[in-house]
Amino acid sequence: MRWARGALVHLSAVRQLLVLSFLAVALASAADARCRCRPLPMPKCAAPETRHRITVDIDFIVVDGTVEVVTQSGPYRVPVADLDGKTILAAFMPRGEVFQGFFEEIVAIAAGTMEDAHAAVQTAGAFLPGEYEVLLFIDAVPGGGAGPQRGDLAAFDNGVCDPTGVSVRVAVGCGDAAVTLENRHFILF
Amino acid sequence: MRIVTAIALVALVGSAGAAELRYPQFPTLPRAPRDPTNPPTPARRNLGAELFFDARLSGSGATSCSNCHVFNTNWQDNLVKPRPDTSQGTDFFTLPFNTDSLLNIVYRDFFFRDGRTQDLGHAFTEPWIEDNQQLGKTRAEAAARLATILRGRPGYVARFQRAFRRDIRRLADEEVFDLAGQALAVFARQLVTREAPFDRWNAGRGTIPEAAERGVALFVGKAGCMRCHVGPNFTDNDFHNVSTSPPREDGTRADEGRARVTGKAADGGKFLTPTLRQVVMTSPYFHDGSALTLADVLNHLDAGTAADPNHDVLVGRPLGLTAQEKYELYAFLKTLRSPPTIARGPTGRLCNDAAAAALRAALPQ
Repeated sequence: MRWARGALVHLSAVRQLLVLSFLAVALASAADARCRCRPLPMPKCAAPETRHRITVDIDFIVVDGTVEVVTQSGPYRVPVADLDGKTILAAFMPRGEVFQGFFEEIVAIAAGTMEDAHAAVQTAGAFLPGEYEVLLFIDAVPGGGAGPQRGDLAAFDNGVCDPTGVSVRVAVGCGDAAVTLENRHFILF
Repeated sequence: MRIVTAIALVALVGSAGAAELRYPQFPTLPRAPRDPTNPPTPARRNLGAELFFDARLSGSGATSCSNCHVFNTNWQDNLVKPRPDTSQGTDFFTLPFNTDSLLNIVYRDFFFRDGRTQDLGHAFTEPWIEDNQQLGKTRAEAAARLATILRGRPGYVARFQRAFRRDIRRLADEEVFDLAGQALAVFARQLVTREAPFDRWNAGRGTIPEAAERGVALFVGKAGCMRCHVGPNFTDNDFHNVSTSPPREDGTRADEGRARVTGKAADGGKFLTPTLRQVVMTSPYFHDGSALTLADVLNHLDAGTAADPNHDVLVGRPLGLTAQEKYELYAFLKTLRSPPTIARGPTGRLCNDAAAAALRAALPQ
């Protein structure tokens, strides 16, 4: 009898331990789920092989003739006059990829020109449904070769899941896609 | 004997598994070594996280470690020369160097590209003295200012008490400074990236693209990258000169590199070999960020231009790589990418902007 009671107590303790373990695993899983990057669900398109265009609109908010952008030491105001007429270069890469100087990896390239604090850059029809990275900079300081140099404005969005740090993500569905870049998307390179 | 090299040798000699690796020169990175003098308790780690994200601990009150070592972009910033704190400079102030990723810092023998310290805690207090965060021009000045800020916040007093069982109100300024460095070191020791696709393929599991397979053969062969980038963390933890800071006409350099520490002219322009793990995501490259892309790096090393009289003899000749071979080397480097361990702080796992915002909102008052 004593043995039986001992076994019952033992079983009860085991059950409590199991419940606690289950709760711990569930909590850990919930925390993991918050951190997990789920791929964007892709729509079923009538013509899934059709390639679409991406339009990137740049739409800065102007205050007192300047646009405020990000730097590591806080906001920085760039005079609109320094942006007007400047070239915009954009390279489009598959999701999660960055440009490392190997052009065979680029899906599309597009260029444009700033008009005051606004611009629109459009690609050719090159994109199947999916997610892509837009690596874009405004050549605010002319010269310095093909890439961005100090003083240029580079686009980024670290708010997305698994950001690259150097691009803005855009999703292409069953038609042409568009993304608008605002002040918060630009850092002084 | 350097720690990581020793670990690599032990892994090579002592493990039967190592013999099965396709490239035993690159054994799997072991679990992060522990520092018995600074145990990684949750209290220290959480305090370290709070110090790391607390911009109030800077000259401007707007710059924290996390401004440049961005938590969700491999603990670096992808900028050429950052301008983190402007409290004592102009608003276009720049540092002379590229932000180093903190990933795998736990495996290093030296910190900073000139290797000025071998103590991780000390490394974390340096930015408060230098131009990064500008708490003071000297160690004593920065320590006094940091200690004053921390002592003025009961939340921090309690956290230091919990983490180190020390009352920072009764410690000397420099002791507080050192404890802050130790807490930051515990936080940083969890920032690890290991077990990339290459490691699985190297151990006979999984696949990598054929171009990458050819790339690793070039890496250990014709390209000679392995002369410096070797071992489980793809670095020899040593200093080399690859003509990235050659002497100017007056004999000075933009950055003296290792010579700043040793005082030896022969060390001029030498910099610490960086890890190649996660390298595809940590542009720009070289100590000064002068190479924007890996193609730029490969072109520089391929040219073998010894613009510096100290140019390392190990890498001082043209490699004669074709464009295809450079692409294959790049394809191999891509296989060294793996999701870093997600750091933990007092408010949970630092996996997204919301998590970082929660930590910032709960900083000690």
